[in-house]
Amino acid sequence: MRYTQEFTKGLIAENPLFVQLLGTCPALAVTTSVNNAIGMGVAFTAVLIASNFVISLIKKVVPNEVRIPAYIVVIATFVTLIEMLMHAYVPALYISLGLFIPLIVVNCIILGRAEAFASKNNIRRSILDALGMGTGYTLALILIAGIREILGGGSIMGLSLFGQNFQPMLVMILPPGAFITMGFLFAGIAIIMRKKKGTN
Amino acid sequence: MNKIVKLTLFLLFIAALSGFLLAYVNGSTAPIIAKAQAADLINGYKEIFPTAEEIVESSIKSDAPEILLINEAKISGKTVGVIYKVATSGYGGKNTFLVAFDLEKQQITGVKILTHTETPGLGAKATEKWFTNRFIGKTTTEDLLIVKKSTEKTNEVEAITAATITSKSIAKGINIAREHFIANFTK
Repeated sequence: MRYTQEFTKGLIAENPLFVQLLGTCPALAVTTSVNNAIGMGVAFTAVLIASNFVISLIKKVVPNEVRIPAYIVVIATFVTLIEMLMHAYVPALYISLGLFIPLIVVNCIILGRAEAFASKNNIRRSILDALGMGTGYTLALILIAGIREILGGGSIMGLSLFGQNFQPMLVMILPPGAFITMGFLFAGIAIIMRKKKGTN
Repeated sequence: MNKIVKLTLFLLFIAALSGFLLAYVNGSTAPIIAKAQAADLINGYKEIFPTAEEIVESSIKSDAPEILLINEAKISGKTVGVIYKVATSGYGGKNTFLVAFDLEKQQITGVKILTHTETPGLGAKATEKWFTNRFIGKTTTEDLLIVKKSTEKTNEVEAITAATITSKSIAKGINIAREHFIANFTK
C-alpha cells in the first residue's frame, strides 16, 4: 500500500466511526456542539499519533503475552500527559473538555489501531495511519455535532443562526438526539456503501 | 517460571517509566495550573465587583457547608461589599461560583461560575454572561426565585430554557449566601 493511502483510508473507506463503528461512546457524549467535537477530535488525534508512534517503536520488544496491558499503559500515559498539558497551557479548552479527556483511554479506536496496525507496521506508516484515522474521526464528530447543534440549539460553533424567535428541537441536544442522529447517519452510509459495492 | 518473571519485569519496567514521565510533567505543570486558577479567582472578584479597590478575606466565617469562602470588597479601607464563593449541587454535580453583594444598595453586583459539570449545550449555558447578568441588580433582602417567564421583579430571575435545575441550584447558593450576608454584614 502506498504511503498516501495509509492516510486517506481513514477518512472515508475505513472511517473509524462510520465504517468500523468504533469509538461510538465518546461520539454520543461530546457531539452537543461543534466546538466540543473539534476539541475532542484534536485531543484524540494527538493521543493516537503518540500512541501509534510509541507502539510501533516498541513492537519488537513487547512480549506477545502482555502486549495488551503494555499498550494500555502507553495509551493511559499519553492521555494523562495531554490532560495535564492542556490544563496548564489551554485552560479554556480544558474546561469545556475536562470531563471527556479521561474517556480517550477507553476509546477502542486507539487500542484497535495499536493492535491492528501500529504493532505490525513501521513508524512512518503508523503515524500516517494515526493522522488519517484521527482526521476521519474528527470529521465524523463534526458532522454529527453540526447536525445536533443546528437542529437542537439553532446555532453553529456558538453563533446563532436563526435569531431569537427560532424554537430549537431540544431533544437533539439531549442524549436521545445523539442516538437518532447517529442512527440516520449510519443507515445512510450503509446504503451508500452497498450501492457502491453493487455497481462495482 | 522464568517466562512469568520476564513478563512481570517487562510490565514493571513500562509502568515505572510511565510513572516517572507523569511525575515529571505533573511537577512542571502543577504550579502553572495553580497560578492560573489563583489568577482566575482574582479576575473573577474584579469582574463581579468592579468598584472594589482591594479584596481581603473576611474575618467572619460561616458554618454552612455551601459557603466556601467569604471576601470583603473595600474602598479606602471601608467594606462596601461582600463576595461569597459557594458550591451547590446542580444537575450533573457541584457548581462552584462567586456572588457579590453591594452593602449600601442591598443589591447583587455580579455572579460568576468558576467550575461546573452541567450538560454541555443546556446547563453549561449558566456560565455565559447573558444568564449571569440576569442576577445583577436583584435585591438581597428577599429570597430569589427562579421563574420561567422573563420578569422585571427584583426577586425573580428567568431560568435557562430546559435547564431549570441548574438555574435553581445557582439561586439556592445565592440565597444561602444572601442569608449569611443579611445576618452578619447588615445592621
